Amino acid sequence: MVNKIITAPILPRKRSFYTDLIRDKYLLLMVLPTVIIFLVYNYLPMIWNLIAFENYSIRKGIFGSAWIGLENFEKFFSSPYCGRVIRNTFVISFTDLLLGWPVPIAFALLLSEIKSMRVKRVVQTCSYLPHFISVVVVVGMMHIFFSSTSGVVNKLIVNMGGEAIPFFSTASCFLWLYVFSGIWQNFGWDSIIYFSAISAIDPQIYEAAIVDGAGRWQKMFKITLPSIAPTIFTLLILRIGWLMSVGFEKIILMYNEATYATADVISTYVYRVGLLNADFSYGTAIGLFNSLISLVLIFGANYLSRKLTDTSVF
Amino acid sequence: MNNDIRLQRHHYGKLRTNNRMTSSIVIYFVIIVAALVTVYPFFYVIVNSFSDPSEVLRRNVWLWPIRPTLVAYRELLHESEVFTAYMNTIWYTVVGTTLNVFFTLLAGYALSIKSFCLRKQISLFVIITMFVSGGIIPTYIVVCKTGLYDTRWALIIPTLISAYNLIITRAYMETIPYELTESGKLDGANDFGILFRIIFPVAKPIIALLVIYYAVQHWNEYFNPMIYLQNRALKPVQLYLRDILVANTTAATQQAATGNAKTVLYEELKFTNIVITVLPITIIYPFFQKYFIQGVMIGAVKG
Repeated sequence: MVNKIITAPILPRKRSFYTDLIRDKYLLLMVLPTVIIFLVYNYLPMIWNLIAFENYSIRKGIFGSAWIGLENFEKFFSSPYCGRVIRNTFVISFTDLLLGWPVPIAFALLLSEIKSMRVKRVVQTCSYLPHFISVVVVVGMMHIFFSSTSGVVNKLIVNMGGEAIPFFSTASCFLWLYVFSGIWQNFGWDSIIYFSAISAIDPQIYEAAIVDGAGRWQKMFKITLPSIAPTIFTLLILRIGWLMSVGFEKIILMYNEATYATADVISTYVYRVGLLNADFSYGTAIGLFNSLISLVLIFGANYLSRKLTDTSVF
Repeated sequence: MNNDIRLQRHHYGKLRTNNRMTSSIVIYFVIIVAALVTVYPFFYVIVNSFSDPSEVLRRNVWLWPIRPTLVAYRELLHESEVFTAYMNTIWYTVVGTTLNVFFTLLAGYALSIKSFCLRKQISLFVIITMFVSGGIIPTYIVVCKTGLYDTRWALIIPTLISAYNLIITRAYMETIPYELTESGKLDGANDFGILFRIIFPVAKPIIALLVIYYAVQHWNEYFNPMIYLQNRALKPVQLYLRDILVANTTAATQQAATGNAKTVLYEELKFTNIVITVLPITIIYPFFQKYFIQGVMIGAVKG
């Protein structure tokens, strides 16, 4: 009798994908809006990239327009702007990376040396503030400070006997205005992650170091920095992956014809020829080229990350 | 001999405290300079917005308001364009954020359920969009084709769910103990019941995070309104700001041509407009600080 109960097989109910769908009907209903939105506004545009290979006209539609193969790409590669926008994209994003990457690390290291919790909190709250401000306001404030006629900086320069510099219409100034305003806006916010990595370090390590006679700078460079190195490198690699997505929304607000030579990047060029001049096919072709480089960089960065730090995004 | 060592130790210790003092001073100095550099531009704008217009025009105000006055703020009340733009921004922020948060929580909860049959596939479907995008122009065409061009919904529907926010919501929901969901199931609630009655009350940190992320994004947005909206009556305040601060276009030349008292005020209105745009965020965000620090951490863990 007892045996019988034990050996009686508990047959699993026959499961199929269909019964699973019925069981999860409410969950499916919950993700349905998300799936529809992503399908229409993220995946459908990917298909619309096909117009890069045709001479698209709104009247004829995507299927009625003439296919022209790679003509749009050839047009871009042989245009005088091609070299300029590719070079600017890389120069701006690399400078931004090289100068913008160490600042939040240094800030987090120094701030973690401050013992007073109140000072720490106030400084942190101040330094996060610019992150929440729109690019329009940031660029607007830059105009207020750096304008050639009424800017405060130029007023100072003139008062000290110098000559006013038209920062916004000087091609060589653009890069520095762009990079330093970016650092100003984001160093505090970017330091959050290093700051929490530092606070996760075991205090016993520091106590041991103090017994061994380590000073403040020794502790910083021999304990703190090596401990947060994985975080530092993971973030560096992530940023390399995002190199191609330079802040074109900010550049569009900052540049003008006088600074196109150093400020015009691939995505701003796409915006101008594609949307402002309504040359949809040509703009899409250049945008597609940009996305391809971007993909290569992301996968390359991810590969590097897996090889070097054993962490990867996917 | 013994004395010697003691003396040496004494000296060495003194040297170290001196070193420590200097390095402390250096560190405090650097940190305080960094804090001042971030805050001063805002301070400058606020001080100018309260000063006498002619002094503002001459750029004499830099530390303290000169002949404090509210004249520019009063002028702002009469600018119907600013009022419309400001109301539009509030509409986009309130309606947009409400819908964003609601749909992100729904999907985030569903994707956090381990037994959900399409969990992996839909998560991948969402994550791919973080790395591959359709590009500006194809997206623009699709938004126009779906009839959203020059409507308020162009700023709401295409960006209804952010992939990044959805993934951190899913990550947060996964940390909620399964026993809670289980107890709901035993009480006979369906997934909607579980989500609204059991999960929502314990998910306050992630809701706060989503609210601040989405709201700041709507409040600060200028690019999408710029390309999707033609009708002046629909434009948000960021576009108005762009016109007076960056483009320095129509309004400026018009007012300069009329040459009335408004010309003098025009410079100062730049400052007051920045203040009213930035103020709401500046007031609200310190209250959310602890939540978004958590958010950065969840995001970091998930890549």
